Formats: sequence, C-alpha cells, structure tokens
Amino acid sequence: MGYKRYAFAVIAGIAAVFALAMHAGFGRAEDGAREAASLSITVYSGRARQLVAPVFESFERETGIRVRVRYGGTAELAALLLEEGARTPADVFFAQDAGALAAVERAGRFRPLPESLRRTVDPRFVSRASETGGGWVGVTGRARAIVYNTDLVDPAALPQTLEEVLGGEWAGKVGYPPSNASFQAMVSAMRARDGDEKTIEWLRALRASGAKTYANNTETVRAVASGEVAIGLVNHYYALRMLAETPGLSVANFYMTGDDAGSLVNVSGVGLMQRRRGTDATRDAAAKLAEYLLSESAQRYFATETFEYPLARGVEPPTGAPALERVGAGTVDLNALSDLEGTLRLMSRAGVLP
Amino acid sequence: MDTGGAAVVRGGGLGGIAPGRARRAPIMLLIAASVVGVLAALPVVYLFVRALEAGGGELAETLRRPGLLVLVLRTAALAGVVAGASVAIAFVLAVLTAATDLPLRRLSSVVSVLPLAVPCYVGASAVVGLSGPGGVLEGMGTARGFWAAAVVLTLFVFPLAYLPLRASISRVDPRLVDAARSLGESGLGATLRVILAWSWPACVGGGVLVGLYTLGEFGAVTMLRCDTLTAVIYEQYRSSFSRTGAAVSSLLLVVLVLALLGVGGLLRRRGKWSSARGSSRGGVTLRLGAWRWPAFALVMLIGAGPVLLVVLTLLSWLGYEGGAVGVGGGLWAGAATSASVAIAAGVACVLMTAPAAVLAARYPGRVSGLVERAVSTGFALPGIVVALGLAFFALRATPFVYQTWAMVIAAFVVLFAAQSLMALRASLERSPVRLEEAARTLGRGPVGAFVGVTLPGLAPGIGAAWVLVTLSAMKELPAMLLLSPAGSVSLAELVWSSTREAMFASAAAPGLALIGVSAGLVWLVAMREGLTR
Repeated sequence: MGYKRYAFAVIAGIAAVFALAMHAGFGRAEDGAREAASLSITVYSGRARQLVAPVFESFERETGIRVRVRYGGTAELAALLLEEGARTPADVFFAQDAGALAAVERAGRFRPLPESLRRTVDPRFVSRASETGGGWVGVTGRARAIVYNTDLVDPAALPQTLEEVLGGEWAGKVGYPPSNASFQAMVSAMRARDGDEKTIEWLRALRASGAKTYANNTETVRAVASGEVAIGLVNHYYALRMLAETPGLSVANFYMTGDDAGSLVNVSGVGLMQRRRGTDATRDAAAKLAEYLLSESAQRYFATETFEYPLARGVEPPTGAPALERVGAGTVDLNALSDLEGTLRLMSRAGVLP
Repeated sequence: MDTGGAAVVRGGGLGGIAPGRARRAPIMLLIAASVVGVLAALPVVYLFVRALEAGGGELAETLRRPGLLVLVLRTAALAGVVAGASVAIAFVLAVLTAATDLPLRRLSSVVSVLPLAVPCYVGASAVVGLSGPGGVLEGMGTARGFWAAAVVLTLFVFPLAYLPLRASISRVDPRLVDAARSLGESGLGATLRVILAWSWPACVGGGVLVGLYTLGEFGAVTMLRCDTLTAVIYEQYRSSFSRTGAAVSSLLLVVLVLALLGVGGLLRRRGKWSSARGSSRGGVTLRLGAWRWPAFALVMLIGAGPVLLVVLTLLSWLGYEGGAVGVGGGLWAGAATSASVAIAAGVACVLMTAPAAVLAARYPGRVSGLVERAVSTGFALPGIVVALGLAFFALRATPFVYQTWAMVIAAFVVLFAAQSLMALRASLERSPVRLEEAARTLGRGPVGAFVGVTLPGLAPGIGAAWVLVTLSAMKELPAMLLLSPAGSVSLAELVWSSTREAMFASAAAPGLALIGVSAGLVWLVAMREGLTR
C-alpha cells in the first residue's frame, strides 16, 4: 500500500517534470525559430493585459518585431527595474502612473527619447528630463472626476473645487480610495500646487467630514452606484467602463473646473530602458514600439476601448468625456508627482492612511 | 486518564523515540537538509542588505512611524484569530470525517479540503461583489475590515490545519480510549478528550501554518481593507522606491514569524503527550446515531458552501454583457503554464524538503531548528519580497537562470517549503523509528536502512506535501509576475489583471479554470492518499 502510493507520487513527479521540460523546450524552439526570422524585445507593462495586449499584437503584425511582455503592477515593476539596474532584460517600460515613471527616471534608468516622439505630445505630458537626458512620454490621459449617483444628486449642485467637497451638504456623503495610486497622485499634485500645510488641512477636513474610504476606484464607484455614498473622488474611466459592463447603473462622471488638483490629468506613459545587453537593433525596435503607442490607430484604440484620453495631438477623446483642454487645469506639473513617499507620510499624518 | 495514556506513550511502547536521544546526524543528511534552509534564508539576507543601506535616521523614522504598533498588533491579532478559528473548524471536520460513522466519508474528506482550491483574493472579491450593489448580501452592510478579513481567510485557509489534523486523528490509538473509559470517563467526552490530546501537536502545527499564511497574505486583506504589515509592505514598495522602508517592515514581519513559532513551541509543550506517534492500527469510530446526516450537512456547508458561493459569483460574472475583453487563447496557455509550473514546484519542494523532514523527525537539533525557522519565514514573507530577494542574488551570482522558470520554482520552494516540510515530517513521526534500528541491526547499512525503511515512512506524507505546494503555487501571484519569463501567461495573472481593472466578466473564465484545475488536483490526491481511508 505504502509503496503503491509512493510509486504514484514518483510517477506523477516524473510526468510533471517532463511536462514542464517539454513545455519550456517547445517554447524555446518556437522562440528560436521566430527570433531567427525577426527581432524580439521585452516590455515591462504596468498596464493590464486586457487593456493593452491588442495594441502589442497589432504592433507585432505590422512590424514583424516580436514583443515579449511581462505584465505586473506598475509599482512592483518599477521596484524590479530599480533592483535590476543595467542588468535588466527590459527594453521598454509602459507604466500607468507618472510617479513610477519619474522614480525610474530619477534613478537614471531611461534612455533619451527620439525628438519626433516628444513633439507628438503636449509638453504638459512629457517628462522635463526627456529634453536633456533619459525620460518618458505620456501615452494616455487619466482625468480626475467626481462620480455621482444620478438618483441622489442634482449635477448642478456638485462641487466645482476640492474646497467645495468639504462643504457641509456633502458631510458623510463622499467616498474616496486613500490607498489608491490615482488619489495619491492627486494629493501629490495638491502638495506641489498649494504646499503641505494646506494639503494636510484639506485631508483632515475631509476625514472629519465623515467621508468614507474604499479600497480602490472600482469599489468607490460601486459604493456610489449603491447609494452608500453620493459622490466619489476617482479617475474618469472607471464609471465609463462599469457602465459599459452594466448599463443602467445610476452613476455618471462630473469634471470639476476649478483651478486646483481636482482637475489633474495623470498619464500612462512609456520610457526606453538603458540596458547593458541591448543592441542597436533592439534599441530601434523599442523606439518603434513607443512611436506605435502614440500612432493614430493605437491612440484611437485607447479612446474607444479603455476610455482614456489619447495624448497624441489630433485624436478625438472618448465619447461622453469633454475635451482634454477643458478638464486639465494645466497648472499641475506631472514631474512633481514622484514624491509619493512624502505624500504617504503626509496622508498618514492626516490620519487617512495607517 | 492522563497518567494511563502518558505511561503508554512515554514508555515508548508504541515505537516512539525516547526524548533526549543524542544521535548524531549523518553529514550528508545535514548538508542536504540545509540546502532548502539556505535558499529560504536568502530573502532575509537581502532584507538586511536593503535595510542596512539606510542611515540610522531613516531606520529610526521608519520604526517610529505613527500607528506602527497598532499595525503590528492588528497583524498579530489577525494571525491569531484566523489560526484559532481554523484549528477549531478543522478539528470538528477532522473528527467527523476520520473518527465517526459519517455518511459518505470519502466525499466529506475531499470537500473539507476543497476551499484550498479557491485563491483568497478571488474569495475576497466574490464576497465584495456579493455585498455590493445587486449582490445577494446587499443590505447586510459592507463586508470590510478586520472581521471580514478574518472570516474570509478562515473559510478558505482552514484546510491547511485540516490535513495534518485528519492524518493524526485517523491514527488515534483505540487502546487509549478504552483506557480512559475503563478509568470511569463517560463515552463521548472521554473519546473527544483523548482525540484532542492525541492530535494536539497537529492542532498546534496546523495553527502555526495558518498563522504564517495569514501574516503573508496580501490579496484578501487589501481587498477587504484590513491593513496588516504585509499590506503596508506592498504599499511601501509602491511608494518609497528606495526599498528601505519596505525592508525594515519586512524584518518586523520576520520578528512576528519568530514570535509565532515561539508561541507554537510553547503550546506544543503544553500538550499532554510529547507527540502523537505511530500506532499502526489506529482509529476510533464514534457513533453519530441520529446526528449522522445533520453532521454530514455541516461538513458540506463549511467545505462546499463558500466554494459554491464563489463559483456561482464567477458564473454570474460570465453573464455580464459588454465591456468584457476576452482572454481567448490565453486561457489555455495560462492553464497549461500554471499547472505545469505548479506541479514541478510541488515536486521540487518535496525533493528539497525531504532531507530536512528526515533531519527534523530523526535528529532534531540546532540545524533542524534553523531550517524550520528559515522555511517558516519564507512562507510568511510577502511574495514580492521573496521575488526581489531572489532577483537580487540571481542577477549577481547566476544571471543565466534569471527570468527562467527555474527562478519561479526556486521562489515557490522558498514560499511553500514550510507546508511540504510539515506534511513530510508529520508522516515520518508516525512511522516507528525502531524499524530503522531493526534494519540496521539486521545488517543493512545506513543507506539501505534509509531506502528500505525511512523512505516508505515518508510516503504517506508525499502526496499531501505535493498537493499543498502545488495548490499554493497555482494561486501564487507576485513572484510569478516578477520572475516568470517575459511573454508567459498564468491563470492567476489573468484573474488578477481582470479584477484590478474591474473587468469582472473577463476575470470569470480564468477564475473558474483556476478553481477547476485546483479542485481536480485535490480530488486526484484525495483518491490516492490517506484521505479516503
């Protein structure tokens, strides 16, 4: 009996090792064959597979360059890139937050971008360092918005500024995700514009007003939809996306017009990695991919499928969203968003984070 | 009763090792056993490297963070509550399925392990979905915070305690029950007390394992908004790209691990017997009478209830219209990758921890203690710490394995060796050491005795060890994301990348596939292993 079970385990084990070896072997043979015919580059994508894989696939079809993608959280991949240094196997970093891009830039990990690429995008959405040294360029825009419950709230009465969110009529009716990157980016923007003192006051007042906290944007939008809170401080595309999945939810977006961090437009962006083992060919291919992300077809894909703002000039915004010029207050410097650590310390001092 | 039972066991009449035996371990065994310990210790070394990069000022500031004490206490409390509740549930289920005339015992045993097939983050997101707008639990208040996390984790992790408990209880020496009864104790109470005392080491071992898991759990606690040390470690990696704060917090987590192991050691010693060892004809059967079917319903409710709830939730997500971006062929590739990597990780873990298990069971001492601590730490460390730690060493020492499957499997060994070690060790401790000695006196060499006697002693634990590691590896996310070869796809990643973008419709298919493949593995092993006896 004992021997029989032991034999089973051994056989299962051997079978598994073979399965894996064949799996890996086939993978390599396939890679080899393709690589002989063409070139392959590695992308670290902090953006979800479901959102961006179609773009990589059409790039492969159009150029014949194979793209190997590591998907992960933007911050985790940034941490990995910093750990790897020049030994990184990555040619391109596609991130969904300007703060992480800035951190990688500060560590000197990016190569300079082609001049033509930087000119495709409004300078508001390009890192400053990209003129002189290695930097990043924005690909899509992610606007801050107020999501509100259409059954509970008259849109005409909605707050126009972050200061008005603290008004007595909203006490206990606001939801926000303090641990979420996009909310924290807004707080960073607030610090850069108005200073730490004003920011911490605002956060304390928000907490004192009985605003409720949620784990992320989606949760916040759900809470608004269920009427648990009346309005939520989120990024614009979550409500649009959720409406596309579940039409009939009683939520809608409102874009504040006040000249403050409430109208911040954060970006997803791309940078080219310094890589010790890179060749001229992989460097060219990496630049081509960055160009492709800002091409009209890719930009239109982002507008219609992920409901984000295309950042290349001349491409229409997603339906149901106002023009980019009207939402971005234009006075927030995205390069200032990289001091996330300071922001978190401030938020924990204000008591909105542990 | 105490004296009677203790006399039997302590006298070594059942083939146990007399305490305090001083035999020296063969050097080859020491070396082989240390390999897994050294591997598991690498991330801790990395943490020290990163933490010491900081100046004293930064260190002091991290340690003086407001709320840090509350955070540590909350983390410890969550681990304690989940461990206690899991052991309680596991004990009831193990008694019912291993020591009663419960109907359909085979099915009941499999169902009691089934929750392991559900990743905690999927369980948590189903609970979140159910208590949200349009959910079944809507209006019952939002399921968030400490107690929500405690309940969800308990429901999906308790089988970690059930497996060792069931193995132990199925071998309760009936003579002890008879002895207790003959000393005047009445039926059920006496039997339960004997069972509890007998399985006490398994209770503690299972509880420690669940506690360690809870310390390192990330997905469910963040989704249910219960801030623990691990949640904060992820937060710090995300924000302080210097990686120092996160390293310091991780070292605090290591302190918690050592504390938990210490508590486990104390509790184990409070047991009535030094350890439950080898009776070959074990097993008692309580008559449930009229309670047979209600008891069966209870097992189904606890084991299958939450799993069914999650599966139904995922099925309802499948029905969402629009907005769903299909994962298409990625699903099959993901399932193949997840299954083969997890299976291989299970084999690697069993092979690497077998020497450590032999060492711990036959020659307990300083080395086996260190290996156990290292391996337990690996289990409780967040995946991102283990991944970055291994990347740190691989890039410097063995760049040729970096971003190959070997890296992923090494990470899974670090993360899950504790489960394998526990199962193998428990199995060895139940097989009488006297047989090995007999083999030696009958002229077998040490190797011959090992192959002929010790290895078969390991056998009953191999299946359990392998399935525990394989299931965990299948669900694992952070190390898989950071270390797998670029361009690969796994089921866990598909589920995660969909739910994080709130694309529940496209999360459903890979989620169901993940649960399906895992449930299949549970079934396969349950059919082969002691579970069904």
